[in-house]
Amino acid sequence: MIKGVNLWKVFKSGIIGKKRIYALKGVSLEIKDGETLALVGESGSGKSTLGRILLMLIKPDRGKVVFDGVDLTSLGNKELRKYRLKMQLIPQHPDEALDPRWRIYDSIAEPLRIHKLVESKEEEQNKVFELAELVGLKEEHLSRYPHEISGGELQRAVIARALALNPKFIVCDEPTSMLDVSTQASIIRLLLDLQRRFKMTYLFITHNLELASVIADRIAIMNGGRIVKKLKPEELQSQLMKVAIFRSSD
Amino acid sequence: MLLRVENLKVHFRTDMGIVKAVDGVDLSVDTGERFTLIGESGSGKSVLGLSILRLLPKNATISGRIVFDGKDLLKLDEREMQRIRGRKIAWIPQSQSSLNPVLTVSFQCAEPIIQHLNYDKRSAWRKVLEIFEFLKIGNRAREYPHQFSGGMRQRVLVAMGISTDPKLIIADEPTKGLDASKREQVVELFRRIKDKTMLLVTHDLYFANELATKIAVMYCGKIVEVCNAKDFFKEPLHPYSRGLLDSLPLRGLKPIKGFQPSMINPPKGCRFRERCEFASSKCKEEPPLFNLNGRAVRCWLYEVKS
Repeated sequence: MIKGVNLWKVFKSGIIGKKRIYALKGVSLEIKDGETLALVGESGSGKSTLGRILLMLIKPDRGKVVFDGVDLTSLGNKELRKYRLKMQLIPQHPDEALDPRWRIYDSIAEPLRIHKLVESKEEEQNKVFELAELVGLKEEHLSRYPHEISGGELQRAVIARALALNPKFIVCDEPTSMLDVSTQASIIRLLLDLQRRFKMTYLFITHNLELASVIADRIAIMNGGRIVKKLKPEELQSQLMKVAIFRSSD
Repeated sequence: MLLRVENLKVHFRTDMGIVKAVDGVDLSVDTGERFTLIGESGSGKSVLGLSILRLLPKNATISGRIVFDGKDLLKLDEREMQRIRGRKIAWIPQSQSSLNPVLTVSFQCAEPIIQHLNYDKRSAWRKVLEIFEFLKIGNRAREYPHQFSGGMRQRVLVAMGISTDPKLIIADEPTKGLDASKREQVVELFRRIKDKTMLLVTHDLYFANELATKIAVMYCGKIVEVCNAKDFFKEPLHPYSRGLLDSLPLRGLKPIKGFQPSMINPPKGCRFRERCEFASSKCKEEPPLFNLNGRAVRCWLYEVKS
């Protein structure tokens, strides 16, 4: 489905690019159709950079991103746009992801307008309502502004916006790290349910080992810009079960 | 008994109406305890912490009693309160931006020692170095906050908190937004000062499990369960507490249905009623805190047993 081959990324800062941060040092990975790959690591290990590169939101310095057999790194911006439809991002801070001066309705409708997927206002409205229902938002939420709804509801709106284009591949960048545990549970349930219904592929970025071990098909651990370990969720689970709090009481 | 809170109510006047952030809370903290308040965002737990130090914004009205060391803090004037803040009760804020960027960390840490304990500059400096040594901050006393990482800044905040040897430390969400290994470091940091009496405010169940001796669960401005930390994680009693633990990924990832009710018009009777799978007609009446073998639960399910 999507493949990253020997990806490198260096961030330069300072006046003449003196300061260099090696975010990725030759990362290769492959995510298969319909699979969830969890990318785990400390903050600063390069997880988010990798996610953004796979979406071609930033360009790698070296290496290739191959999506459905097409090398995205060789395409120009115009050609890339065709593929952008199929790849979406769910960011960490839902409160910063939406324009604070737009109603939720417009934020969800924007991708439909940009890619000219709807012909009339009515069609747009039907589609947005359909999306809202899919993620469990009520009509009253749509006419509000981002600061007027809770974090969990905001994240649902962001998910609805990502789904608007029927993507095949979604990068979930710590979608629940700012949410409470019970809200986290409902958002994760929603994401897993949507994945099954629309046969989507997820790259799930998180620092929560517990969460990764429950939702992923495979887990990759990153450290210092490299993937240092790949393991099965069961292996991680049996490790975590040693911590008493994670065991259920019965 | 070091701290006793009786029927505390904190209400905020807003354009939308009166927000009842804390609505009749009783609790008591004994010396040596690490009393941990858990609950989701918006349950009123941080406001409760702030109200003990009387650091609430102007639109808040506060009633009830907060008895600390034999004195009712709500009856003290601002002068007397200043002698308690930072001296008898320390506040450890969430990390990051709580330090003054233009003063060295050691200066900021020495300030409460000079102010409250009347140390001269030299002995205050020595004391700061001692504390930095103890918290493993290392030889960085002359540096400024921006030279420190988030984790190191938090150590400085803890250093400031314990510098005057206060009787009670209140820490607000010390692990918010940290990744697993950083969280472990914070747990380690708090273990180093575990001989202190603490009131920890957190929504991080893992952190609570590592440090708490006693747990109080807050929901919608009220305390719904108080018990020993061990019993709590083994067998939570209140349906909301169970819901919280069951929503942990490895304990089922089961969300609690519905949403948190508004604190302007909280539901009558039990506030968890609309989301509770055990709700009955009885729940339309407000349940008291039932006592059950030393555990307190605010739920009608436990009426018969007590």
